[in-house]
Amino acid sequence: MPCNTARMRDRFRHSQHVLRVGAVLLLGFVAFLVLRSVALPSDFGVYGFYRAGALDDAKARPIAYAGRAACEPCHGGTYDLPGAQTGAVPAEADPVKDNRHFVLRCETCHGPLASHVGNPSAPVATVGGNQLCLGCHAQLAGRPDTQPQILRVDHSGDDACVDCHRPHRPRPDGQ
Amino acid sequence: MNQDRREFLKDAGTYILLTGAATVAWEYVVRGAAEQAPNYSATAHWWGMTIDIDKCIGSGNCVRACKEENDVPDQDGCFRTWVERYRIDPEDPDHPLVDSPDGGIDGFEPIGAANGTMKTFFVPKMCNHCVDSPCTQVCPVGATFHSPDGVVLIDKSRCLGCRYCVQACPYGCRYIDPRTLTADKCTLCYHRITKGLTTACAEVCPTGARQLVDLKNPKDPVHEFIRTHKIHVLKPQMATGSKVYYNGLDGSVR
Repeated sequence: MPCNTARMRDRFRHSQHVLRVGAVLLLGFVAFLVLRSVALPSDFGVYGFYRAGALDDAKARPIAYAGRAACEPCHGGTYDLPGAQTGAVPAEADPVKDNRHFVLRCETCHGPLASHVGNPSAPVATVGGNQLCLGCHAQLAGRPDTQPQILRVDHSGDDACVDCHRPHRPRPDGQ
Repeated sequence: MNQDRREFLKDAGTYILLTGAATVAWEYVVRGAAEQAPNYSATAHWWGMTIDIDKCIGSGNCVRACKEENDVPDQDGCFRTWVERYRIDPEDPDHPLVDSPDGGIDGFEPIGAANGTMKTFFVPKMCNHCVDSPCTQVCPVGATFHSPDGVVLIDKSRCLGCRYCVQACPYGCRYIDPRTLTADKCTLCYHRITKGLTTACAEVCPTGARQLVDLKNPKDPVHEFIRTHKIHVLKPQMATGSKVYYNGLDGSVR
């Protein structure tokens, strides 16, 4: 028995050290939790390892390009005709859907116009001249053959594109 | 019980740490799934894009529109989308000549007859919104992430500007915004697509070469497109799970 007692005493001789280290570890962990809760935003981790509010931040950006659907309630069918908006010229039924440029969206050439939607007095930028046309129609290696391309010197010299082509019905035959 | 002090300390420390880790994990468990949050129904969508090389005419409209829509800085290298022109000698397809003056924002200079028999085409590039994106994995602070609808986004308020993600992206799609010194990239126009609009680049593309697609929408034409075209993604060997699908992509495109 004395022998056993001595062994037991041996076994617990260092328990104080263990408890101290344990207390230090525990304290460190509690400090970690406290620091973590202070440093992290409350919505961090709702969806994953990120701040859920970041999704709303990304959504909150204002729109610059309104999209064609926003133009059509006011301009669908009549925009090609000078004076059609004021009623000075009778509007054609649907003058735009049968022409080669119909695949373009309005803002491809007219630029971003979200500020103009719902506020007709907001300024609308003037559409660029020849350079705008040549951006797509200048002859360029790499352009697919299906894209109509011209060398300007051969095609029209110094004439403006719009002398012959109406952008909303670009082909001389009205297509 | 023959356990020496060193082992006991190790075990005790492990138990304490593991209990703590479980406590942290539980916090996420009780908060519930993404679907329960009041939000645009993000889990009903899975966004991606298709790019048809055969339709791209290198007009640079997409690059300009992206800068305009997203206020991308004008400094060198700050592009969320850009267009590259590839010129490939049929005899030497492993060494394509690539140019992208200012990301193609003002289009491309004609090459004319000097181009000879080179195979030439345009490749619009952008963030591939990868399913297994290397860039989000390396972020140490949770500042970049996958949204529940499959878009890789950046939380600028948390980004430290450490540039790990810029290095990690195999497609070179990220840059450091010189104004805030935080990482930035294509958001797939998250502010537009969550309102039912398409992206700015797809909106202005004159030939419809770019199309925003919702892979979770069974009525989206993308399913038909992928089935009927020879589709490829950039750098498939990186196993990033890219969601930008190219039609007609040449094997020499890097």
